[in-house]
Amino acid sequence: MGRLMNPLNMLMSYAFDKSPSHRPVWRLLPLEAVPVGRQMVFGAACSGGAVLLRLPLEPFLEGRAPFVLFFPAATWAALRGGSTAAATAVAIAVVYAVITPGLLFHSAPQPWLPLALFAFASALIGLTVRELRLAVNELRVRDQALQAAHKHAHLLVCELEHRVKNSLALASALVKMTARHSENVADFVRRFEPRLQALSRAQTLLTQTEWRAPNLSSLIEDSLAPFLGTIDPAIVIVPGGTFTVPVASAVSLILILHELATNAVKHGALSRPGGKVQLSWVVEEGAPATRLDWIETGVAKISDPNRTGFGAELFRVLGRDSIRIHRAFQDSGFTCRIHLKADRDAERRLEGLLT
Amino acid sequence: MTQILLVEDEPLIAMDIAGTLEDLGYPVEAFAHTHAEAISRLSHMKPDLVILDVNLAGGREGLDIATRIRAERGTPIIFVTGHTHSDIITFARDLGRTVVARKPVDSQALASALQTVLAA
Repeated sequence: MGRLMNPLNMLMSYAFDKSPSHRPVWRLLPLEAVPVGRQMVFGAACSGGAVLLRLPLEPFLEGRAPFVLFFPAATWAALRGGSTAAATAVAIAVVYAVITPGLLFHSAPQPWLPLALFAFASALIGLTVRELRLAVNELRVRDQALQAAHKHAHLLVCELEHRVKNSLALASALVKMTARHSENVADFVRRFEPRLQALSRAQTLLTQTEWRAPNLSSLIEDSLAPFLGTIDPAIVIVPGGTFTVPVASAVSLILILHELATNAVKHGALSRPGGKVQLSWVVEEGAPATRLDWIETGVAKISDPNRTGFGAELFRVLGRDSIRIHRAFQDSGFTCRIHLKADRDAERRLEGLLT
Repeated sequence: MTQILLVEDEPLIAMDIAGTLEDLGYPVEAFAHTHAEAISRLSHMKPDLVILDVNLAGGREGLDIATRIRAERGTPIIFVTGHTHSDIITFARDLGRTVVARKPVDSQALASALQTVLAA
């Protein structure tokens, strides 16, 4: 059975498959409960209208079908007003039928039977309409929730689009920067691939934290994952206090740590036996900031291998107010101190956007 | 020489855009990475062109900066954004002397945006 062949589907489609302002059933059934007094007045008005309509027709009807106009009156009262309005309309219809000459008690052989049938049918109409009102209200509430969810999903898709484009822009910048420092295509691929992996790890971490400020400890572990446990001597991490890295600085910090580790493996402490790297951090008292110390030992007198290379350019570009980088090539080994500032205002704004 | 202020919170992207602009003959005079930095720069300089990231630190603070710029002067603006929202296009059109360039910004798109906005 096709959708159009099913009358119920057709009715539902007509009633609900339109924009909210064009849904006839919704306009028919008010959401808010109508006060009892107003319901009674409305019910009386509905039956009053039926009486007025019947009066000029009476000479033609001659007492037949005494409730023919009161059924739609009671239904309309139930739909627009509620149970009390319907009961009022029915009561007025009964009174009218009883007292009017030529109707029930003046012409019918068994006047109580049509009266009882009318009351019974009206009660059924009232109950049906009541259930319909409840169902429609439930649908309306669900529709509102659906629309809110749809709006939220649209916002998330837009946000995702923005972040994907931003990531592509970042990758594009890394491509150009790496290309400037590569000798040939093979060299470019060798240099770029791990940086792209670092960028990918940054995206994974931010996705895991739902784009909220990640914990510094997790960020460090993720950044150095390719180097931890695979290199002997390993990098030793000495945890400091808890610190959340601002989202705006997370990608930069991951790229910085990746570059530090890469340089250590190529030219520094991790490039030969006896070398060691210690990464520690201290959360600065009274200020929403932390200080990270990357200290390489065991390999003395390393000259700056990246004076004009990718690393130097990266550190120069990424170093700014929220991340300050100070590198030193000392006789005892290479050290790098990173001051990282939290941006609580930005975090609050971001939190507001995400919730 | 056209004085350009570049407002972009991601330093690598800022450097990339600045490099592209330099190749096109438009070196960047000043950088800002945050809303506050941008406002501070604007109070000290009168750029001939502002290149503005729409999303700064999560929010659409670029739009607020653009509104402030337009309230004070008619400086042309190039928005750089990953969004394809029609509301940003409408906002830019209503603002006047504004062009929207999509991220990642390529040299051709930036050249075209510069031509449009500086000729207006």
